[in-house]
Amino acid sequence: MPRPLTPTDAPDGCDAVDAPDAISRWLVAERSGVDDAAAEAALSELLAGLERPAPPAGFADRVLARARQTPRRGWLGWPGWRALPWSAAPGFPALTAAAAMVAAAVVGVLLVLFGRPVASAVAAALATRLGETSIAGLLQSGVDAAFATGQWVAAAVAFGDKLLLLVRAVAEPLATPPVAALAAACLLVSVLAMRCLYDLIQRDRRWVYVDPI
Amino acid sequence: MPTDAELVASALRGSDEAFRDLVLRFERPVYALILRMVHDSQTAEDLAQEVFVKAYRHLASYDLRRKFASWLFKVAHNTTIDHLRRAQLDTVPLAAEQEDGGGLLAVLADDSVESPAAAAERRDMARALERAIARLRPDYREAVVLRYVEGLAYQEICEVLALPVGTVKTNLHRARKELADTMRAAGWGSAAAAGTSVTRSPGAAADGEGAVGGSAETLSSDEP
Repeated sequence: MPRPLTPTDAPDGCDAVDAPDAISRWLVAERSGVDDAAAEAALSELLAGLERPAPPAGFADRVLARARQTPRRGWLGWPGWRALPWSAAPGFPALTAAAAMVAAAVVGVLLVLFGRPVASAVAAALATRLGETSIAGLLQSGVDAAFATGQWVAAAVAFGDKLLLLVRAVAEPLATPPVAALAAACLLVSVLAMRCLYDLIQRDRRWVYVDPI
Repeated sequence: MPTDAELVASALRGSDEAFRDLVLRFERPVYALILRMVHDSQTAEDLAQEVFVKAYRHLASYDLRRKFASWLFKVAHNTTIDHLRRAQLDTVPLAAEQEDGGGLLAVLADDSVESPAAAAERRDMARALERAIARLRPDYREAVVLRYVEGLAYQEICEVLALPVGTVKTNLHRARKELADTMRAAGWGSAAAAGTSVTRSPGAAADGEGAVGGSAETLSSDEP
């Protein structure tokens, strides 16, 4: 059996393993072809006797010096998400990605529909008042900006209402079993598609893409 | 002595000292794995640094329920493959590594702990083994190092290499057979099969070079 990982093993060359004996046992076991476990154990013993080369002295200090120059990253701003009990469920990453894409699409639609006119209105109001130095003028700019923002929020809420109506209209037929089954099938297909995409990305890190074996 | 998980937790709370301990704990396994894959000590050091810097930056994404070594080896695997893809298989001859003393073969023997004859045999065997490992396909080589040198379980190797467990087991089995064939071809174990204690036939080529291609051997894409 392979030895457990002990990274702090003493770095002193070939250790106390009886290498000639181990290589004999390994090669005999390989030749017989019947005792796979014995062959594995002998090879593990043999390779464990080889010294692990060490990086040059001061490696850890150089790593820390480089690491301090780069900021740490959380995952989507919340590193604790992996501790969620359902995060290990199959399909969770794919579903999360699908939900994120839907949310991004909704935000994108809102921005396309309402973002530009509102931003233009706010920019115009600010531009006309920018030269005014009086407090009243600045207050007027603030009020105009707040008014424009309020209009945007009202428009967004109105859009949300319409979206809700749409969701209700879609959800109603979902109550019927055939449509629910179809929706579930679509969801399954999308999850599988995300999984395939994930696999494709992962495959890029396989050796066959580095060395044409 | 704190566990890996405790050190990671401390590092996540901002302790650079805890992260430094993690680096000291894993610098050898990570560096040795990368060195066996790229066969260039300077590149291996640069990549190993990159691995630990990535680990530092992305420590928050590490799942504390998993084994830290597996996660770190996965980062090392990805970093090495990314580098080799960028480098367009810019391989380095094994002989050049021997000459400048920076490669694996320079550190395999310690003559101070045993008799000169035993040390010489051990050194020959270690050199032959390293050469045999270096001749393996890179995916076999990495699996062999992770399994038999670092002692990872099959499932952990699957996570690192992103391969199914059946593929990993098959690769390891074939790699072992190839290693054994190479060692036998170099003269090792020929007497053991006959039941004697001698492990190397007297007429075998020195260092097994005759069997593995000698000093002109390069680790390039035309490997079998």
